[in-house]
Amino acid sequence: MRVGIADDSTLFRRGLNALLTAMGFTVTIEATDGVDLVRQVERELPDAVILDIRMSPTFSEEGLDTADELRLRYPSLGILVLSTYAETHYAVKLFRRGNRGIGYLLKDRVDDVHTLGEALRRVVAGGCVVDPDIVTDLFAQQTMITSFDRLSPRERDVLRLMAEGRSNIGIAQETQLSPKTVEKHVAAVFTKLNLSTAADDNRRVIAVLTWLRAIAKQSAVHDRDQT
Amino acid sequence: MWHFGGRRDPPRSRPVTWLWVAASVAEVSAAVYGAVPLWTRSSVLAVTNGAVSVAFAATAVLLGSDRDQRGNGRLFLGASLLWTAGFIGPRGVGPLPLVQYVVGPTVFAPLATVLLRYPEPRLQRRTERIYVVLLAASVVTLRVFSSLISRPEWHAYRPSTWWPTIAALPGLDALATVLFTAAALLSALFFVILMIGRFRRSVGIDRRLVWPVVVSAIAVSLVVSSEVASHLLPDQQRFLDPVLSVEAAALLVVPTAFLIAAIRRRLSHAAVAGLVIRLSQPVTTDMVRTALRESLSDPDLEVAYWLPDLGAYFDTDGRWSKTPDRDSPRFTKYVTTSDGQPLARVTVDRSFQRYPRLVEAVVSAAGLALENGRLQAAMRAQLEYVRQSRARIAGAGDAERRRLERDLHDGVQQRLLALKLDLAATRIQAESRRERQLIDRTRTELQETLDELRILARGIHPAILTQSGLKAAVTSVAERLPMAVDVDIPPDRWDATAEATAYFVACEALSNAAKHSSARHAYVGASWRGRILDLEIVDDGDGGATVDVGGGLLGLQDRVAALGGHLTVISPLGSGTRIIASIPCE
Repeated sequence: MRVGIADDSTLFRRGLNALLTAMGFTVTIEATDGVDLVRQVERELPDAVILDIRMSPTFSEEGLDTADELRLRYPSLGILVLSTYAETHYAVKLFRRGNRGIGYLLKDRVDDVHTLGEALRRVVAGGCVVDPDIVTDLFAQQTMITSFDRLSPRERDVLRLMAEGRSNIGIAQETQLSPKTVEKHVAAVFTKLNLSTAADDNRRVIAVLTWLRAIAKQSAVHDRDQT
Repeated sequence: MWHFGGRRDPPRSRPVTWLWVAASVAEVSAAVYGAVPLWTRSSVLAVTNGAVSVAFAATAVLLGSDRDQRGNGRLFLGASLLWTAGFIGPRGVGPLPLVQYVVGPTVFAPLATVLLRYPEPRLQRRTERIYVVLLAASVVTLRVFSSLISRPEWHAYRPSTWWPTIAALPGLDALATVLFTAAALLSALFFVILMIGRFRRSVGIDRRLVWPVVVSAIAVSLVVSSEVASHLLPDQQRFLDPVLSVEAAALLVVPTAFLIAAIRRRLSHAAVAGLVIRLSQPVTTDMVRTALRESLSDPDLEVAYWLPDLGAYFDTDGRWSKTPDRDSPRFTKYVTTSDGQPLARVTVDRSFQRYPRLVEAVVSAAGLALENGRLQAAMRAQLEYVRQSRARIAGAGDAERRRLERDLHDGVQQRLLALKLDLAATRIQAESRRERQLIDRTRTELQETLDELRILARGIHPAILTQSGLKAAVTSVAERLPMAVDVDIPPDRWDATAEATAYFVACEALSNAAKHSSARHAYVGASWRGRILDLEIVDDGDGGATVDVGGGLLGLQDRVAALGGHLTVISPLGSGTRIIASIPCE
């Protein structure tokens, strides 16, 4: 698989390049910022790109803009966005326009060979990846909310794995359950939480994430970042 | 007593005034000489014409007594002379009728000039100068031309009158008369336009003095135009005398207006008396400035006080005041104390250059109040200085912290991450289990270091605050707390120091609520009020929170105060806690 990377730190790029190569990927692009990345992708389209959220010139959120631009022009391109901090704010912004082939991971996690490889394969296949840390954070707040309490432990696991962007097959693999059982649990979760049943794996990630975040705010005030 | 810089006016010189009076008396005699034969024809006309000459002469004397207005006084004297010439014709002696015919109408040239330029000694605009010259020239030219081609009896004079007829051309003369009428009407219209323009341009004390003159000038123009227009009526001879009387009576409005203006000038000096009484009460610097502004009708008047400790002038709010440039459009008066030390500086509109004694009188009345005002200004200057330095310190602190966080991120964290990646790459190529175990242990250590670093950096200054603003940063904190938090903050960006201060206040409030008060719900709201950021954090915990020495809230209260805002804690026992802060932005 051909991969491109963009990060303003030379050290990080070198390290990631070495790791990806050792894992068997081919690094075809090394860029220093969003503009550079887009230019190089125009010349030779890879299978996936990995980019940092925080790059020049403003060092705030330009990675998100670059991701938007790339997904518009190259819908088949897998995009993995890295962030130093696990912020739900970024995940929601990133997935605002749909989440086919997009993933959001913590930088801390990229040295985990298993997670990195799986994430790349999933986004190239059109799936979606959400860093488990974010999901954990959101889950941790749910202790106050009663509708969450209605879920059985199994159902909570299924909900968590859905929030991480996995398909039913993926969930089945992780939980050692049969796909049929997984489907039953998924349906139960949706009913108990009053979520609209979205057949598409990708759309339901959004639904779940948004629900988790919205419920985390006590009142009925609308979440302004809702997709 | 308070003394003033700038030249003092010398007392007015007596001999010139007597010269004026003599000239006026001579003029009045001439008027009487001309009026007497007119009496037999129409007594009303004689009286009004004579009255106008006398009134103009009197106005000339009135203006002449004021040194600045000598030029305008001379114009009135000239107007009086020309007016007399204008009705001297009926004497019938020698060339007097011709003089009346040619020179009489030119009276409006000096009259228009003085009305357009009072109280200035010169006409200000080129348009006005051209207008006056054209007016005089056209009147004289048309009348001279007419006299050359007409006979005296065509203009209601006796046929035996001395007249420089060259050729008798009735048609052409009629044309000249029509042209004259047209020119007169146009001049009157143009004059009204110029006067209106003048009024709109005048400002402050000038406007107060000028408007009676302007109003009278416009009224007179209207009357004169109608008189001229009446010549076009058939059967004009019947209306001639009454119309002329009305015109003359209307002209009396002008000297009356000047009298009013002169009285007002005296009265404005009386405004000073009222000021003295107002300022004898204890006053603030704002009140002094307001009182001065009202007395002089200059809303832009500024007062600056000399503070000897700081060696400069400071304005009413305690800010350093720049010395006005030499070519500034404002007029500056410096006030000193009785031992010659600088006390204050007053800047007013440039038109006050003509009334230096008025300005001096007003400022003198404010003298004691200025002394007190100076003490207040000194105090405010100190306070302002302290506020600015505190804000600088707070701002510098934040800038330092942001820099530190970025250094940590770009430097140390990246290095550690790169190390982790290198280790992961090495692990893939590791051949023995021992190697892999060693690498795993190192990676764990590295990760823990990174985690500690993250917590430290977040405590110093969270990256998400700089990157994505207050709402995102507070939401991020709220998500990690074991209670439900409603974040009601608009996604706007504000001044960095204000955002940081608001963030840390919210953090402290929320963590206190979570740790100490067993709150289950909390609310964080922020809104924009002009240049002030209003923040409110409410929780439903146990209450009883106080701002203690050594507690986080006191430090935050100081920080907010350093920026010129304030922080209040409302926390009755058992009723939850409410923290309100207003943070001004730069």
